[in-house]
Amino acid sequence: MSTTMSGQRGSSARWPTLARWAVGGFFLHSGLTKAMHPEYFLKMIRQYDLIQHHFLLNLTASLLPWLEAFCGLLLLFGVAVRGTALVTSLLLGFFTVLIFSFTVGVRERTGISFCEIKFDCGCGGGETRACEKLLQNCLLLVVSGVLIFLRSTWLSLRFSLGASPRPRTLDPTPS
Amino acid sequence: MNQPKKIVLEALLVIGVGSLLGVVANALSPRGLALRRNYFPDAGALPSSSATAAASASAPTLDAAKNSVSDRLRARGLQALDREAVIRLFRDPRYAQGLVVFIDARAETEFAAGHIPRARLFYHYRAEDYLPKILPACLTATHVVVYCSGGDCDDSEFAAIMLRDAGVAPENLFVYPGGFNEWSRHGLPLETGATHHRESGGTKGRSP
Repeated sequence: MSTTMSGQRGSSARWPTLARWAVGGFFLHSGLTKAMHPEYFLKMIRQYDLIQHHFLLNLTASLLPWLEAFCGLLLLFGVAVRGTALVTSLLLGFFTVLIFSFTVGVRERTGISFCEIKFDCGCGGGETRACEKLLQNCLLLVVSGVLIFLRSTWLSLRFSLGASPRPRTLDPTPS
Repeated sequence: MNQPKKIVLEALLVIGVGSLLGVVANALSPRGLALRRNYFPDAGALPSSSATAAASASAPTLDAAKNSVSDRLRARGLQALDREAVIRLFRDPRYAQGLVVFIDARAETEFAAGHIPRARLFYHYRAEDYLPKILPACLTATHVVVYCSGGDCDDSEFAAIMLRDAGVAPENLFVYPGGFNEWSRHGLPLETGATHHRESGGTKGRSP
């Protein structure tokens, strides 16, 4: 059993922390890359033809990268882990469906085989094969999803926002 | 409170704080987006370039994509130039006289990596920075040729629309759909480096 810096108790298993860092690092990098180039991200999300109104499109392009980076930081430092993992899972699920639909659309229009299609999905990594991107997203989604259910507090600053901290020391002798 | 409810509330808090952070960061960042600005004018009723995108294609598909691009340009009231026409204008003596102007609608890093010689940069996402510098030359030119990367890039079209809205006569405005990728693929002259031209027009200090 391990205790967080805020006194919360949980499992001391280390691999969930490594998984948390992997997902957190990915989101921090991806978010910051897009936040530094908002016009690029704006162009990328426009290609999906999901949002027509320019205000909503601009809002999404300006907010989403920072939300991703924020989630990345929270996971790296182990703050609000399960809630953040829920957010990253939802984001990953949505992006995966979006990329899959877009790729299917390109395949139907052009006849190119699914795994030969390459495009810049706006994920911060430039042009990649759709198959590789989908596989990467699915793996991250599984890891992120698992983090929602685990209670590993090793090297977490504040694993859960809602739980009240337990006292660090208990007086063993009854009065 | 049960655990799932706590997790959902935590997630909502993360989304709320993260979104607020995004609003503040976007407002403070010099590269932040202007939320109320329409960066893609005249794009609403038309399919985006993604509808004509082909990452790699066979010839019949490429022809279909080209026809789609032409249709889209026509619908936006823009004139297209093919590569041969662009080359003729590039070699026209009026180019050196400033009566023919080439406008590069790509980002600064792409422009610096290579562009059509003596082309001027107009990154329409930062129109307020670039438009005052290029508009005088465009207003006096008989031919203004706007290009970007080519293929499914439609930044050249939005840049051309902005120039038209700024007063450049539509009959003098042209879009080169093949773009820089087609230009460089055919071994045509190119130049590297950032723009150094004076604000009133003319160019200076460009590396050959």
